[in-house]
Amino acid sequence: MPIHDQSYQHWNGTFRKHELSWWIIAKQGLRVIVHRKMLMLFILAPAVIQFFIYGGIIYGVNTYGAMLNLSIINPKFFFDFIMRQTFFIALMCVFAGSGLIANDLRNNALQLYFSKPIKRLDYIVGKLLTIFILLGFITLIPGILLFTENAVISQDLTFLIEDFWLIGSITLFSLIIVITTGFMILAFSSTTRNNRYAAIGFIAILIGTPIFSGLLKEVLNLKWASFISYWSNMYTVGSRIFGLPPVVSAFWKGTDYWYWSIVIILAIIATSILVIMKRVRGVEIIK
Amino acid sequence: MNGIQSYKVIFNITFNQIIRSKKTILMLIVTFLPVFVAIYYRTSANTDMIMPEQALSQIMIFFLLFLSILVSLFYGTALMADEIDNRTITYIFTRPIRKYYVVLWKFLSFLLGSFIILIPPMVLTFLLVSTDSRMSFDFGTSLVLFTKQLGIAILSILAYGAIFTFFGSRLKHPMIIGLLFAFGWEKIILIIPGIVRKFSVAHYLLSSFPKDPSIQRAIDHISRGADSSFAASISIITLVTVVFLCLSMYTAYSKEYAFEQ
Amino acid sequence: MIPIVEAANLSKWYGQVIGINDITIAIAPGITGLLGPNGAGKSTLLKLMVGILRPSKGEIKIMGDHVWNNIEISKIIGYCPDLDAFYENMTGYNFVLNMALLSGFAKDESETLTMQTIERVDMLEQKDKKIVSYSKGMRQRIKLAQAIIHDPKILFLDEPLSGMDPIGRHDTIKLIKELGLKGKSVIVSSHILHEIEAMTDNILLINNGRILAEGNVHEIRELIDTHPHNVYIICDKPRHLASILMEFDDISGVKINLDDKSLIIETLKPDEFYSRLPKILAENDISVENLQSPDDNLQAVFRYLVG
Repeated sequence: MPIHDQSYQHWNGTFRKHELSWWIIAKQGLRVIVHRKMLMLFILAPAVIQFFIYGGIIYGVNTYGAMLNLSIINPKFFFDFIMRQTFFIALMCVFAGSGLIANDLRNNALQLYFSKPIKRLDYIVGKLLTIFILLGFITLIPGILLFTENAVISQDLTFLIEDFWLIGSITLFSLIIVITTGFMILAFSSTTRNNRYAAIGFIAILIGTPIFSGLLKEVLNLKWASFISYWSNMYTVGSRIFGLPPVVSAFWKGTDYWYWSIVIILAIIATSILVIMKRVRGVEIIK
Repeated sequence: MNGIQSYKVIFNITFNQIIRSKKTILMLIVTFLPVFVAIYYRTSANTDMIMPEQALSQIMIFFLLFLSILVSLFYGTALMADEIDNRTITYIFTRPIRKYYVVLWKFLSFLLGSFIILIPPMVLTFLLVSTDSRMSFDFGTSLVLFTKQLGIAILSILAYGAIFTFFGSRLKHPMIIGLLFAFGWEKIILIIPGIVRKFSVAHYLLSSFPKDPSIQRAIDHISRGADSSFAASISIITLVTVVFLCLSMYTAYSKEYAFEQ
Repeated sequence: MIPIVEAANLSKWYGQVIGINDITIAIAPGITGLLGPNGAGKSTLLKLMVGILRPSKGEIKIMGDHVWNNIEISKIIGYCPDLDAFYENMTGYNFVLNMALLSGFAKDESETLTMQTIERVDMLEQKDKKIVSYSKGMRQRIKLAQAIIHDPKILFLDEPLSGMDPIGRHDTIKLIKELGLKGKSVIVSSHILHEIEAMTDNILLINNGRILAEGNVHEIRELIDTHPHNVYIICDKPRHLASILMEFDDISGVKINLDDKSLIIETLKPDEFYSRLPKILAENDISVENLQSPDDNLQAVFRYLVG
């Protein structure tokens, strides 16, 4: 026909579920968070500065270390770096993670999400990926970069031959911190419509448990008290992964039952998963 | 029309929000943790534990430097920030009531709520530990000491509450700034030598603590020196409270709360 | 007559975005409809009027007094915001009661007023349920209740009909008209043109932060010269009538529809047209079945001015 119909034409194709719907959710979450200036100023900038300081130390030791008889680039060096970055992990979780699900609950967005062809799992995985990527930028990636820097600028291959396993340790320990903390903040975020309360609950665990653990050790002299401390468990597991001596610090006075720390970490992850699965649903029941 | 009645309504609304919230149950569990510690201390057969006066000091420091800050942060930032986030501030600010008094009465309800949440566990802990037979002091001396510590804890809630109320009324992200202040600045600055630590509220709170060897060891663990005088410390804490409360009231009076549509 | 609201060179901007752009208005007592498309500045203007926002430039007065931080003004105004914001865990009754107490009434008086107002907005059955369980329409009614509980002289209603069912809309319009008859002044903003028309002929039309028109809707229509008035006529001799009308200078166009024997006549001077029409019809023995002016209304004004 010479003149074609310009009016609405129904599409006769097949609707398919987007295979990477979780990635769409994660991408959008990252896009929103990364645009916030607070994030850059208070969290990413100092974290990057610390990374450069450690990078500078690596450079300095490799360049002048022989003269000064310094050999501090060892497993403890990388372990310390990751532990120091946990301060920014806490800030990142409070700033970016606390509102991941809480804001959706507040704005009744879950009904919008689940009215589309995405599953609950897609939504949760998308949100998890958002926080994991952000936390990974603070721990895993700079840790690997520092390892790479040392490997590249070393005078010989000694470091690479003797300590190649460090890349695995850095990756594993970073992932443990990222995954556990990420799950925890997401669980807190799913329990409330107000991200402020999620942040407080999270901080109570992160900062409160070490302080309370210290109190139990001081007052009650309980050897197992260190297992109450979130960071003490991480420290214990990390020491093991990096092949460091068991934790015996003036502050923690912990025993080296590192497998209990792993059990506790797994329990935190499991509890977080249960909470998230219970709270994330399309319908809210009002009593 | 009754003016005081209106402000009492503000007080009641805020107080009910604090006390009847499910989150307060969780907060009570946290503030009662030291009570469980005290119960364990009294009932345990473990002979390796420290003396009761030292145990009590440690626990009171925990109340002072962690729990009172946590409670103040939790409820203080929420005082104005919740009204702003929930946009209910529109209803209050279009009524014939003075905006700065709204802040003041909300702050008073915060104080009452915080005292209810924090003081009973402190009292219970004191009673449990101070009645231990190994206690070096007699009950009267312990009571005097505890009363002073309780006073410091109340001052802590006042000062931090005023600061966090200001954060909540002024800042877009009061929680993160509050956390950086409370668990960043206030903790780190205490271990820095020199006069810098005089720029923290915690320094003056620790300086106000009764000077007793049992407490001093605990304080020295946290700070490089809580060496300001008692009178100066109380004055500074009071000044901080008044200044930040006034700032909060002024903010409510002058700031316009334009909500994103 | 003292205007209830006066604005002089009033501007409001949010950072780089202009919300209200240099407007000067004087709103007379009575019911006034505030119209405009989304983002026109209606809510911003209402918030400036009730003192939630402060002018960036210029001034705004209610009953001759500045609004910002003025408690005396707060006593005589009632505001129903467009935001869906409540103390969710309060019951509807307690919410309205608290608002009455905040307005300064004693407890007994507040309780009486609350029951009366809740009955007036037809929320008696749901008053003891928590607001979090209310539907959108119920929330809107409770919002309206808190705005009128203290019997204000001036009411500012931002999209009061939003989310209401047809009965609710009808009742609310009726309430607003009753308030107008009692001597209250109401400024009501809405997108729903025919509902504003049902309440009042006085409008304030705003777009892009500027006032496009104010006053009686018919007078405004008269003044819109660029858009000729359309008159729709069904008669027995449409062609004959069309040929006669085309001789007059004020007729800019005629469209004939032979299916229903109708004419749509475009005239630049509607008053003159209506004056001459009966004589033309009588002299030419033309019977008219239907005569109406489809664009002498708010929608036409809105369409022509806003675009």
